[in-house]
Amino acid sequence: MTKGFVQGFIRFGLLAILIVITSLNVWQAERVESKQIQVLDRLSDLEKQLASGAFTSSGNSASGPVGGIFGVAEPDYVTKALMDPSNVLTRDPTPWLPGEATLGGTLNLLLGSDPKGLNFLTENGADVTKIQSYVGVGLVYRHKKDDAQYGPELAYFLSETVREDGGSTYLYKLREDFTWHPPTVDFSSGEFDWLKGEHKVTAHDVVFMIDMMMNDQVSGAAPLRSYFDTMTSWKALDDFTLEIQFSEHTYSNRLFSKGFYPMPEFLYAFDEEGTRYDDEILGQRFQDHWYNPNTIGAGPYRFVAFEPGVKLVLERYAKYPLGGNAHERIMFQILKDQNHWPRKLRTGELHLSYIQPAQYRAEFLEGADDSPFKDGTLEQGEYWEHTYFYVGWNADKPWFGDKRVRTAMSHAFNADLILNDVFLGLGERCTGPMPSFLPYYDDSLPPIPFDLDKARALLDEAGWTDTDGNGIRDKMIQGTLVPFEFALMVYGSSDEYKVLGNIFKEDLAKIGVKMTVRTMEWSNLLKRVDDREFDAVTLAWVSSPDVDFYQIWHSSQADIPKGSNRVGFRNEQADELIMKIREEFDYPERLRLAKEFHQLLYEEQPYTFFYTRKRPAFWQKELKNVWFSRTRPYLKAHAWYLSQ
Amino acid sequence: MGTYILKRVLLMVPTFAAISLLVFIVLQFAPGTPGAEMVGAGGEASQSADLAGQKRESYRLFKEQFNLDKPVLFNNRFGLDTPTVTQTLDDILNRSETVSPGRRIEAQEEIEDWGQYAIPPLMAVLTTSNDRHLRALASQRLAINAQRPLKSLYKKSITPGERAENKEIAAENNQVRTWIFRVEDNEEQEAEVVKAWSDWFAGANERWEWSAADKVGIFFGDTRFARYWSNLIRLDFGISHVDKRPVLGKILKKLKYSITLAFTSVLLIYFLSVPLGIWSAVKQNTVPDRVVTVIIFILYSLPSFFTAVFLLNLLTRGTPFQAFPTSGFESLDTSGMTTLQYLKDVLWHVFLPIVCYVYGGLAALSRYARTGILDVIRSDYVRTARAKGLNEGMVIIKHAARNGMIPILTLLATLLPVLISGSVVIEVIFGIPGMGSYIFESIGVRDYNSVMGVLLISAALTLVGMLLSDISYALVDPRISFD
Repeated sequence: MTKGFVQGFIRFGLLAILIVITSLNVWQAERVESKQIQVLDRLSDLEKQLASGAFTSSGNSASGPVGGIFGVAEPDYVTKALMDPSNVLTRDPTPWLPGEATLGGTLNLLLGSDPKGLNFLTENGADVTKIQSYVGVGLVYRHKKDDAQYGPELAYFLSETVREDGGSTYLYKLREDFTWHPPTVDFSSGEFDWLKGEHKVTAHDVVFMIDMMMNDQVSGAAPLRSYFDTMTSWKALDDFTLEIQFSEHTYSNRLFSKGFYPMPEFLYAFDEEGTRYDDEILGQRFQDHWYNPNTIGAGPYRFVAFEPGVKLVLERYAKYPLGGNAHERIMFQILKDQNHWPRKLRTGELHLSYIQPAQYRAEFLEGADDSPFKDGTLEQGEYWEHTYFYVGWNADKPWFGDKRVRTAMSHAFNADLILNDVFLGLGERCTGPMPSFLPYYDDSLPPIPFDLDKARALLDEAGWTDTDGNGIRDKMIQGTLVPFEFALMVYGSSDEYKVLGNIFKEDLAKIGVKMTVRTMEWSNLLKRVDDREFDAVTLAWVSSPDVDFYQIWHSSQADIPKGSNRVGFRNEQADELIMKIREEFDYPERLRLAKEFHQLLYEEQPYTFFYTRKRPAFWQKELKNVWFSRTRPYLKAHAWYLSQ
Repeated sequence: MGTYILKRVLLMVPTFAAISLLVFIVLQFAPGTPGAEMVGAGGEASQSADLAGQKRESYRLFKEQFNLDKPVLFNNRFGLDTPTVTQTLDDILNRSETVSPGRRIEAQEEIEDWGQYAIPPLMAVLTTSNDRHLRALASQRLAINAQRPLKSLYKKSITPGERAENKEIAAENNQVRTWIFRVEDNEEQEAEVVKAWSDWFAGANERWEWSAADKVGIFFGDTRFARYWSNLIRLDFGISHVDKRPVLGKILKKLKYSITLAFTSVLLIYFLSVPLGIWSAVKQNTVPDRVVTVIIFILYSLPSFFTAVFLLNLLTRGTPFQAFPTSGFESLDTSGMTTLQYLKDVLWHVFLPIVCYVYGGLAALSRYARTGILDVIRSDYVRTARAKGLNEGMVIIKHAARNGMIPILTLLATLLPVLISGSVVIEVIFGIPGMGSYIFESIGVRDYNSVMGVLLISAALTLVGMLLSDISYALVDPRISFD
């Protein structure tokens, strides 16, 4: 008995000692670790300061004449060049940041999906464009207020000459004080020593970007490539001078000349070991480059990390010469479930977010009085998107080849009701192929009114009458009786479209037209539309502020795989106008031609044009000077700062 | 036992092959297109006008890279004849104005997809047809189809031999690309182009002279399925269509999240439900047992997506509590944390998701446990145990539970695939980037390689899990034997 007791006692004692020692160990390890972290933090701070040149005299002086804030003083040659009348570039009269802006803080924003890859040339999703606006650097940028004007960024001088042979030559002079961010690789292993050191941004990097864009193997750049048929040469005259020639002098080419940017050849032309790729495979390797999960630029913010589904982090690049980067860090949380957006605005985890119509209804329109969305805790604003929504009619189907029928459909579409009740009035009716706020848009055309009698009359006129008395209109086409029965394809993951479809269906039933609503998921819907296996479809186009109607409306685009003229709109007059607009330089004349084109489409009704969207956004009070760009990306944090 | 296991393992091979074939076919024939760009961040159906069009060339390269230009199971394109090709060319031209736009587009894709196999018939059209429009189109199509893919284009390393061959192929591609004439060109230009093609074809002729064995090889080998399988045998799941990263690497990264969640949950489920089940069995038909039964049925019938959103809105938004984070697996910035702090951070983040995982499973499993005990509690050996004077606790734990828990233990093995595949609903709602959200997104964009990867790994684990389950029967219950 006692023996058992002693044994038990010893066992228990040993166990107790073991527990004590283990906890001591854990406690000790914890302390050591936290000390280590402190030391590492201090080291990385030091490193950052060193990198930003805080200890050298040429470094980060408090202000310069351009960008105004947090920038490096502007070199004399830039000031001088901006006074040269042959320079297309002008200084932006509106500063991005106000004088009282403060530097620092982490700006918390969101991305709604994972960027597919982060190579700016091969990826072109909206999220990558957004990241590019922070990380990348352009040759020029659009002025803040007057976005038809361009200011200097990497290029401080740009001239346009029309040659005798009718072609045009663009000459760019680049600043010499732009440097590439250090690539986001693990330098500690020594594997990437070949990437170390400072790399200046040169004209060769812009040439490299164009080389890659024009390389057939770079499939991601194929959509861009087709615009540059008339570009005949691109070369660096020296390290900081670039010359680009086009065989034709057109308005589009003038626009395209502003769109180039540098890509770092020292990184993208090499494999992971630092060996240059063979020319034969360079394009393909660039397309699927080992560095593509990361990105690099020479802009105001440096790319730090991207964890799919979690976050994408940028940090301030102090060596960016133009300044204007007020945030120490920009943290993009990747929030695929939109329900998180308003939730994280409430908890303060996001500084700013736009929200969906249903959320706008729940949180704001019908929210409780003490909801932070209503009681002034959050600031509110809205911005317009370069978007227009439409119902497209497949003109190659028996019903919609006749413009009277299409117009009748537009009359039967209760757009005002749907816009106000389903889409909560977050937008404005639009009557033509561009957002309603563009100068090219013809305001004099009234939206087609909801008028079922008119629709009936038009259908009668087009020969669609109910001959067999079954309540559905029909017509003899090539010996067969075709009933007016068709399907409208709508995107199924959004309730708004389903409601839209059902309202439309009811109204059409009243005029003897049978429509079924087919909800489909995205990839399925696009496939059907690409294969022209649809009668009618609701979709939206996102466009740029400069109009070019070729891709969506030119008849040559109707019958090619992946062509954008999916409704089969073939109109000689339209084709002619499209080409004229592409070539016309005179702004008033461009306006006139575009409006004429708008009128033509209004007359033809290939789409039932629906509306241009505005989106509600909410933000925390500590975020100051919130300003939305009129061009993508609309949420452009360059002008914002966090009050410190 | 050994022979049994061996038999089972051997049987797993054809089963797995059949599963992969089935999954592959279902995926390939599912409607939709893998090339479609992702839907906008807000879930809105809009497309960029600047980019959506003119994608034809990039789409062609995309198809080539992912073998989407190949037939799915069988390839009989070596038998392509001139009339078929002529008809397709004619459809593209649509001079009769009767071809539907859908067919015109399909015809263009058809010719592209035929690739090298269409070259002899195209040559025949170019040299023998007396229709100028057809000849011109044939030359334009040849200029695309005759381009050969480079060697090891998508592989990381490249041998010097391949490098030399690539130079040759690239030079040839650059040449053939230019041998085009248009209808408006003059006769001389045409003659020049036709001569270039004829000379080239005469030189490269043997590429299209297939023996019967070659044909069999092409019939089975040059297909999407065969290509996929030849990679799979080397454990290469391919790369994702979406971000061009290796699928296996992506899956391994996601496993960290899903396994943590699932493993903790399964552990918790067992720790809670087994005692609960035993307790209810012992207290069978008393008031507490009935109360627990009702509660458990209520829990069981609550869908997890509802509970998840309910918990999120109640416990994260600040009204009334702000006790837990709104989403994610860990804090956004974990670099400054010690191990303990990190552990705490992860626990804090995964608490709510784990609650959602656990309660449903708890309800089901505790019922199994209860039934298991009830099955044995009235058996003779339990009565014997009581009769020999053991106290009730000993009787239940030592005698009843051991036998009653056999079905529960074997259920564990079938949970193996669940560990890997994660839960779509919970991961999506709580914003955890695990396997569940991965397969959900991949299906949405028809990322075949990713979907195949996840499904095949799950399938393999299911097979292994079932085997383990059967073996564990034999191990815990000596009455069961497979010999």
